[in-house]
Amino acid sequence: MDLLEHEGKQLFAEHGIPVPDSAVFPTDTEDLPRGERLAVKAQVPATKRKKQGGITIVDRDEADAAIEHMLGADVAGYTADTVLVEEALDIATEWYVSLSINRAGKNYHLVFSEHGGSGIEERAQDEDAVHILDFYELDRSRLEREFKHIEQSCQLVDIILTMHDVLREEDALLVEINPLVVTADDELVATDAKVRLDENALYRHEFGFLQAGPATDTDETGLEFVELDGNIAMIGNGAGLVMATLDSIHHFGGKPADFLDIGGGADFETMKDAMQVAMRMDHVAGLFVNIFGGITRCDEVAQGVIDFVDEHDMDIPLVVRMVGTNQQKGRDLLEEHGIHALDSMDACAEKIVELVEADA
Amino acid sequence: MLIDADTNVLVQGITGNQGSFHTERMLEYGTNIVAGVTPGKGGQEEHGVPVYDSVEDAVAAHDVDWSIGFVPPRFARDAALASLDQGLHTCVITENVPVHDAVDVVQTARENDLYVVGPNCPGFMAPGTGKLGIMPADIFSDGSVGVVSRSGTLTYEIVDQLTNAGHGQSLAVGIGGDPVIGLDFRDMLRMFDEDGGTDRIVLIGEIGGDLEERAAELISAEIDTPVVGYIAGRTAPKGKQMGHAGAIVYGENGTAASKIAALEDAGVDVAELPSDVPELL
Repeated sequence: MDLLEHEGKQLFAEHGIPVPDSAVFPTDTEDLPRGERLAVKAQVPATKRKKQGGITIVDRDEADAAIEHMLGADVAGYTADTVLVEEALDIATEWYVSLSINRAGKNYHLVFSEHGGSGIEERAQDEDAVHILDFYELDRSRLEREFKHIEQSCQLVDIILTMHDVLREEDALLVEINPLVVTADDELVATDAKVRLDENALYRHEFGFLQAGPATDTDETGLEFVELDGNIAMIGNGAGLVMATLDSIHHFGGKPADFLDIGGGADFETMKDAMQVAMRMDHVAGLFVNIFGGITRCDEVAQGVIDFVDEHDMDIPLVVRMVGTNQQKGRDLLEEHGIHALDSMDACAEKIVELVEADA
Repeated sequence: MLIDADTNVLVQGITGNQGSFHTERMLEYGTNIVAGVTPGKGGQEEHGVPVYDSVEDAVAAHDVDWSIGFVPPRFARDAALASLDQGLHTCVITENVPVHDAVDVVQTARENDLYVVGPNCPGFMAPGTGKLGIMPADIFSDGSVGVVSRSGTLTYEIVDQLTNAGHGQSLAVGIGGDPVIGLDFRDMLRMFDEDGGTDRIVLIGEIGGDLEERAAELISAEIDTPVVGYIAGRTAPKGKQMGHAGAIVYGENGTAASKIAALEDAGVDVAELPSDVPELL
């Protein structure tokens, strides 16, 4: 779950990472922050906001107008419902710091560069002023050694240690400050904040944040669902199998309309819900159900399919592949309803693509 | 490798829905489940297996090598640490374990030279010997192909094809779908390469992270056993988690294309479809 900039900065402020004086709009009560020049920033999950009109710097007397103009504006396809207004700082240098999960090392990854700011993705390749540290436990003395050549190393080390607190205490997967500004007065201030929270840890926190960029679309029924832009809907059991099924549909020339995983051991109700989710999308011209039952029972899945089909007009082709636990029972149930299940995933993928093309 | 006829197993969460169900199936397969743990239910029996209140109590009464955890996500870290604390290797079946919890478990296992498999995995299966986990027994056959996979049912899909084509398996390990896991591709590649009973390896990967790329580096550098691969998620969109917490592409990082290219550069044949895997072996 990616937080918006002002939400990330709220966490920073709570932990003690310096951020600019600010106010969030719309607001009933807040005044403008201090400063002769103010940054007016659309709170949208887009990258490169400045280039797309999502960030403007204005004189104080132009601020109200700028805020009005920004509120509700379209920035890179997102609507700026919230605007963050900050004191515009006198910037000497812009650095980059981030802490993230190192998957291969099964620990944490610190990246620091003295050349931060926008465009870092492009610059990162030829960077020789990039410090990378992989660690499980982080202590002050190690950081002090690493950054002893930097004039503001004391402030920097404090900030990194605090970012580490945010990472672990808030269950964040990424804490990124780009840029970490060195002001003309030699202060370090985080003028942007990107915090990605672990959705699996939300249960142990009481955040009041809006979801800015949900990574999963698990609905109330516990199905894993991602809508795609094709016209062949599919349902499967197991994320890897579902991904492979999407690839197979594509291989035979079709375009998948969704990723939909009913998980392991689904019952008929879960399957019926899945059918509903798949069939209520727009532009669905066919449905492919791919079940390889381990702990998932084929007869349960078949019952769910039937329950749905009995209540709705299935006027588009339906192809079912069903093998595994209780497969005969499941197939018999489907057969009674005129649905003939097949053995082979390839044959089914090919068939659904053919049937959809024939209908087109 | 990992499990043999004498391996003694403890099931954590044995009286829960999943724990009980899979204990029965593991026992059917011949796995030596010697004890179970559910706090508060010590003194009971589940499918003939004595239940204890804690791992410590169980280990005091029995010789145990491995534990397997069927506990809810919020207890998974502590359950795994309790096992590691008693010197057991552990397999974490649980899905939705917070990433930092997984890091703690994996790092603790490393410090103690113990195995962790998972989290969010189906476990592992040595056909004819024993299984630790939830894999359906009847699709497997005994042979010399080592299988290592991030997936559950996709593994079954491919193993089924292998068995039907006469390519039996020495050991199949589901390493799990999460971003941070214990035993990974590199560990299993080394293990299979050193194993006299394994002469080919099937590597089943998916989008997200860079473990397949790291595996490819290892294959180029050290692995003599031929490897055939399959990578799921060629057509997955960027920035969207495809079920598994670890299956997400950020920008250009973690794409199927990158993994396929890295593996092919290392001399691995990468199948276009799961059904192509047997022919490539």
